[in-house]
Amino acid sequence: MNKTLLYMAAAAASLGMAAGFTSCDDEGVNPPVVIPGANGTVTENPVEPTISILELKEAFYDATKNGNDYSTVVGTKEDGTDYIIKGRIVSDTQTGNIYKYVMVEDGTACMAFSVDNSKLYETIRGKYGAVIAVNVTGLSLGTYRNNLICGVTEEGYDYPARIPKARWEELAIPQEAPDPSKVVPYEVTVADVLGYKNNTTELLTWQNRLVKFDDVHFTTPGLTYATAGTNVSRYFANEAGQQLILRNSGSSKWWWEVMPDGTGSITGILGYYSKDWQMQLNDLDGLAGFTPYVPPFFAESFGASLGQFTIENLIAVTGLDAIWKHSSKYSCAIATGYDSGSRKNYDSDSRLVSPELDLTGCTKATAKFDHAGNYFSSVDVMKQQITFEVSEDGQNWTAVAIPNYPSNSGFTFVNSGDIDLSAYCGKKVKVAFRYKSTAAKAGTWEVNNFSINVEK
Amino acid sequence: MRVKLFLTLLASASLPALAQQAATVTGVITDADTGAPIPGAVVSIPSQGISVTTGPAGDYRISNSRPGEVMLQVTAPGYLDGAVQTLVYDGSNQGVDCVMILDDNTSAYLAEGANDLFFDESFLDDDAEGSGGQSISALTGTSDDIFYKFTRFGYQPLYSNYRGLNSSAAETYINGMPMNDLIRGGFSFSQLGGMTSRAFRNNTATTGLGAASYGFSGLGGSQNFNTITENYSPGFNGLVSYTNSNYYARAMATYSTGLNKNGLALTVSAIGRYSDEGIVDGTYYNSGGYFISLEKVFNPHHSLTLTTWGAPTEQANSRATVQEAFDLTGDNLYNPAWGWQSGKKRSDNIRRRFDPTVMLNWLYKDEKTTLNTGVAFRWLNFARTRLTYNQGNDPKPDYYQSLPSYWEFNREVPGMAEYYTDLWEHDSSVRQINWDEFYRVNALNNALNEGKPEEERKGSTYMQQWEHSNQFNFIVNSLLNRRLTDNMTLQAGVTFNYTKYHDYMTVKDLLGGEYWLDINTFADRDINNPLASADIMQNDLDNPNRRVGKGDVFGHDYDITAMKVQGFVQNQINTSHWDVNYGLQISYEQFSRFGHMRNGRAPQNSKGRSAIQRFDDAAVKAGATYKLNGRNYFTLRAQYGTEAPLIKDVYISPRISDELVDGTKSSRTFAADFSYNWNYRRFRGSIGVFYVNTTGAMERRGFYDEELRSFVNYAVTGVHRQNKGVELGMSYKILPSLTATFAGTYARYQYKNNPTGTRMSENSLFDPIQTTVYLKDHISVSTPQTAFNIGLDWAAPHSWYVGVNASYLADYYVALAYPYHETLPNVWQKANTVEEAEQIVKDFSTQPKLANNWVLNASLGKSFRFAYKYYLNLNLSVSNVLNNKNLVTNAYQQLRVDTRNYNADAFPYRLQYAQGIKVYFNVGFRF
Repeated sequence: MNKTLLYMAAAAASLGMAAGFTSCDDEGVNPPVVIPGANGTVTENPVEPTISILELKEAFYDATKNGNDYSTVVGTKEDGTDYIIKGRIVSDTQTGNIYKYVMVEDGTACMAFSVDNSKLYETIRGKYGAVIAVNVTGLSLGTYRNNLICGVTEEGYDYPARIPKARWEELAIPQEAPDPSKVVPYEVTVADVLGYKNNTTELLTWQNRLVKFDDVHFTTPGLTYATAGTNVSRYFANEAGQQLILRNSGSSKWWWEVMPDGTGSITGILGYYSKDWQMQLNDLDGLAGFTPYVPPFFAESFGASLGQFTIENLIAVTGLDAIWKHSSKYSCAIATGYDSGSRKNYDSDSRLVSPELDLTGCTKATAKFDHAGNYFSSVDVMKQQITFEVSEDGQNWTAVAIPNYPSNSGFTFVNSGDIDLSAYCGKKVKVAFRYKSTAAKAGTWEVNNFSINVEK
Repeated sequence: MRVKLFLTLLASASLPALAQQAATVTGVITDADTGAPIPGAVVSIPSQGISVTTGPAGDYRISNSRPGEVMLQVTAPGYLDGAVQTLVYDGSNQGVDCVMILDDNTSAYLAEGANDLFFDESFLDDDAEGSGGQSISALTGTSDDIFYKFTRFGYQPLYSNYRGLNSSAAETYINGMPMNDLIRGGFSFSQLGGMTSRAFRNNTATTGLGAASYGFSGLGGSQNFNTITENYSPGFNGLVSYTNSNYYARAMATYSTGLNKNGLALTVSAIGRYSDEGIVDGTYYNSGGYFISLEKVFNPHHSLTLTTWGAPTEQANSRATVQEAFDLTGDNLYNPAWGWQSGKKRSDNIRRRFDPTVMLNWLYKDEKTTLNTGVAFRWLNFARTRLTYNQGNDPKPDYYQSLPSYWEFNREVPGMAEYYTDLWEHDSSVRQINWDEFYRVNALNNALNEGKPEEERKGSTYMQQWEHSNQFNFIVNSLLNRRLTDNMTLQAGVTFNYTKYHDYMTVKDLLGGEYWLDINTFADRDINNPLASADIMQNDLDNPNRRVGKGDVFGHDYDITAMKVQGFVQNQINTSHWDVNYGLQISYEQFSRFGHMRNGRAPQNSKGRSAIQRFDDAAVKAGATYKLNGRNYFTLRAQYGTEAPLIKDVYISPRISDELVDGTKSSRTFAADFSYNWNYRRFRGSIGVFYVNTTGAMERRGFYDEELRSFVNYAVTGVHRQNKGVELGMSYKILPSLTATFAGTYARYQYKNNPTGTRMSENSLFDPIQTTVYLKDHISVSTPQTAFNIGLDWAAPHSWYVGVNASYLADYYVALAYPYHETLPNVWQKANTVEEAEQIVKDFSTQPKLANNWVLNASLGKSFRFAYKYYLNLNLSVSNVLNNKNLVTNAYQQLRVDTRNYNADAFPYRLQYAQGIKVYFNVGFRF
């Protein structure tokens, strides 16, 4: 029996060994992630560029065209070899704002390839973050409304036309899998960018690049980015008010979204059209730091009429139809004591009064508007003659300071800045724009985009 | 004649006898129940200190016995000890045979019923798109090996692949003649017609890499059925059974005359199995079978046996489908293969088989030699139905676009998923095949044909076809078994097999239409290949646009003619401490395809005789057992050799052309196993490890791609597979009447490299596409890799027997589909980052694993004996007592992948569940 036990022990030991013999390599392999090369094969030999994008752009930029479109076929280099560029794709066509373009950045500049494929985002040759090499010999460089792009020369087109899909598959050779983390925008300011227009090299360098603007705001928060099926220009500005176009496609997947408020950063492709930069967003992830647009508690743009505002003249109007009028030409409310027909100034004191505003239940209230002032004796006089007033009973009015006044030269609109009405929270009030003039000198005040925002 | 032989023997024996005063004792040790020889039994004369071991044919020889009264003792593992008293004379040759009774008769009784049921049900869906190369390796044959029994029954209701090998690895012999077919490599047990427990009861198994007396045996072991008439015990045996499975009624009767004084013996058997509807809706079963074995013994040396059997069977089967369909119907036995037609259930998965076989064996026997020479004719006839259509979507109810998930995944059409869910739940014409609709559409075609000229008349849009694959085999075999000395035997054999395989389709039912146009409307004529002419659509270019009717051959029609010559020789040496065997097998095989149709997709290489393929193969094997003492022994066995690919895998699209899969060559296998066996009076068992390493192998699977509307073939070559594991089987007698058994395996069946895949669509003009298939370390066989069974058998007083056992089945993976393991160069359509791409690739290549499960089985039996000679057996076995309905019998990934959205779940794997509780009640009568 002892022997039996011994054999049992041997059996147990061999079982243990056998289990070890069996248990290994349990996890099956996964196929490697491959990058398809030309004609569907896997890229094994990386392609080296033969020219930088900036050099290529400069070589084929034709200043003699004076802003007219053109398309020049790219030949071979002097040594007979092809022009090959290589870079990372910084455009993303997934949401349809950028359409049939592939922007390739190599650190010197960015090339916009015009490709006839509506689903570039589904191919590795058009995928955001992928690295591709493109043999541009045989393609064409030229401008479309002063923007230098790469396409093909085609009859009926002055500018480079779209590269056929199949040709793009052939010429664009994938080099690296998409890695969005490696796409880094160039940080720029509005002022810098406006300056780049004046230098050809800088223009060529920056056209179609992925750039990022910090501390900018939209001029029209609350509007949709575009309208259905129509491309629309919106604007954003820096603190100094320098503006750039934000060009949005009416076919994008987010054209109906409302532009945000506040300041933030905008990242997008710095396109160019005619004589202006126009930013194009890859998608809405290009916006950061903005606050969601909240519709105002009360708003009157004066775009179409004086709306619910009424006029109260403190001095009877003589010599004029009215002190306050609506201007459809300038989309604003205009106040003046000057009669252009007789070229005479009149004494006047007139309020443009809002309907009653129910501020009960709010904790904070601010008013703001855009205005322009001109022909006042001086800015100081202007500040006395145009005021913003509040009344709880419609009889007694209290002036509230306007933070920003226009320059009294020309009709450039400035924003009033936030006018704090928090003191009236819990009350029902009316507000008014009050205009005064004398027979000696009557200025002109233009007001629009009036709004009141409240916080509950 | 007899005297002469006797004198010769006497002369040869007497010379040494004079010197040694010795007698010779020879004989054969067989199983009392089955008549199977018992190799490895120890025959001893304790009083003289003599001990020998029986050879593979159960034979032994003691040439140095002292004359006089001797007590011969026989011990064999698993059998009760036997003893025979005899008188041996000086210089004489005494024949002493001994029949051995199995130690645990109880389980043997129960096994009989289980055996029948097992082979009745082993018609695994041999759909081309189904389990493909995964067909089960059913082993039968008596063996006392506990683990071996477990591999046969311990997995139920699932099927096991012994050591993870395909059916072609296990060799099946009938009367020593290798009967595996040359085309598919395996042996289909359905050809025995369910008569395994009676007409084919005399059988022997060789497990693992063991040496057999009847042939070289296979990597996965082998079995030999003996139908030589004299081995059947005379009498009648009748059996009537009820079960709640594929069929419900089963009756079998066998009568044996035994050998009469004229040297004649006859055994006849007949069987019938029937159900108008099985446990699964829309299935039926209708089978009859016959068996006749007639022997004439001319003299003690010569006898001739004629055996013939066959079992015409028609059955409607269930078909595997996706989990979603089971969920929608709330039924794990949901069967998509049938539909209502005028209020009657009609199946589209009908199979017909009839495999008549005739075999003639001439046996020569003398004291040292047995020579068995046989010739066999076998016709394997198989046909299955399939619905076909020439436009629109696949009309199968579980077509992926008819499932709610398709509308969730692929089309963001609101409400459609709910709509389809509702249809599935409430409309049986959506859940099942809509035959009435096919008739309606075809009738509409007929109506539109009114008054039109012949050439403008339209044929059937829907049609049901027969897909035939038939074989004729002519086999000649000669097997020699010779005892060279007391300790040494020699086996040698030579086999010639001529096979003609015929694969074609016929029209079964036009479903009311006027004719069927024999073209492939889905041939990719314009889409991908503008240069292709309209000829590409033609299945038979020499008879373009042929209109076929019921019974006509169409689609494809080809033969494969094959010949194989094979020979082996082996030597076995048995001494008191060592058993050693070694052997060599060599074979030559040639085959060619002959196409009867010139196919429009392969006009150059579809019609006529192809080039002849030739393969030479060889294998060597050796084994040694060290017997420490009578109770403990250690066995090490190994085999190394090459094997020609299966003919079914060699042609990439055999229906279309004779184009070969690139890189077709013989595979190379090294296999070894090591075991320790112990055999005490109450406790016996064995534990072992095995290792099978195959390189350069080939696999091929075909599937119907609904998108291409074509059969697509996928072959992989240069496959490296490695199967290894532990096997344990032991039994312990708690009481003399109560035995506990435990058996189990823990194994890994894996691919070990990344072979080359070749894919070809049958409707394409393109050359096959080759790619690497990343299979390394994935599971190569869909079978539980961990399984164990624990059982209790009680032979109660008054001839009652009771058995209970439970199985645990685990590490069971879905059969993988190669396209899920390719690189996905276009994954970038969907992936935006490397991480996303890696995730998709991983989702694709992760092999789905099936749940682990417990199954409990029980059986109860009682035997009555009356009037001394009549026996009545009542036998009830209940498998899956706990009614577990989540046991997956069969699961395979579809070969189609979603290359639009790269959703790994878009084409989920297909599976079939086992029924719940299964009752088998058996009444047996014999005298």
